[in-house]
Amino acid sequence: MSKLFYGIWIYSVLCLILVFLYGYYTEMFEPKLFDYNLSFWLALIVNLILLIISIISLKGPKLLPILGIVVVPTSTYLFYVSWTEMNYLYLLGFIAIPVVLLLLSIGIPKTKKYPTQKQI
Amino acid sequence: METLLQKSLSMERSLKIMLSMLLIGLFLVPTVSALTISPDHFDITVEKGKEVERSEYIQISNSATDPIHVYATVSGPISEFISLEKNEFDLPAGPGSHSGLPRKSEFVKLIISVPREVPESKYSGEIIFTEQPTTGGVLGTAVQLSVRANLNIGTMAKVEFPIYIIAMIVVLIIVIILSIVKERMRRYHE
Repeated sequence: MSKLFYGIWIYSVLCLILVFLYGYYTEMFEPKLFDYNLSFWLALIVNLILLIISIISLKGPKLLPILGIVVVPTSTYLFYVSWTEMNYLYLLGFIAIPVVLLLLSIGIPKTKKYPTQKQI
Repeated sequence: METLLQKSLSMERSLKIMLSMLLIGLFLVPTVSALTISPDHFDITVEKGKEVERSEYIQISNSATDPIHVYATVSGPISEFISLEKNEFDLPAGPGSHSGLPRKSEFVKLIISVPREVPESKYSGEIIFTEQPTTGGVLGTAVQLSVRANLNIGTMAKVEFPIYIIAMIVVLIIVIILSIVKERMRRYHE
């Protein structure tokens, strides 16, 4: 759970950095790479971090890692469309995803580690 | 003798044609002059990634004593970026071509939206207004008048986040801080 929590925390900070870049250095997303501009690739890189963390954390409680895997393509799409079509409602959705994930990660009570039969 | 007769016949025919053309012209002239547009061209410079609303830009006036229905369309490369608030509208009957009274007019609002993925360039096109007489009118001719439009697309526009985005960013910052505080407290209690 702790690994997943820090993963989501790092993901949230990276999302925040992306939004600040969007606001103050928007022209930096303009160059194209394989038919897609940098807004797509940077959003994809940030979301891949969440995807890796979510897959690693699948051993524990399932809710957050599955949610993390599901939101990866959605979040990438929202950022990309928001930049290209200059629609801020998509950006709102992009920022809302880390907010929801963080709230869920601090809201879910941590499971106590009880000693196993073998340890007793 | 025969050639003289033929000549007189052809002259008569050409006179008939000229007379009929004059008659058609007499009917057409008031229809053509009924619609006036101002200005006849415009140049706009818009930054990339910006949506601009230009209102009260093109003025369309009707001087005819009959009401007119007008269709407006955007043609050419600028149609990708310019849209009109209304694509058809009615112009009420005017005071007549020779009257000094003010003409009935309508303003057309242009909505210019330039996406971010457009190269910095100049685009041109036309905004076409097609006149259709609603009542009367001996000839059902559609008269077209156009306004030449040149659109210059400049450098990237500065982003201005709406208030809901700023609010969401603040919420995200608060949640990030809150989560780290809660995690530290949890560790402290353990």
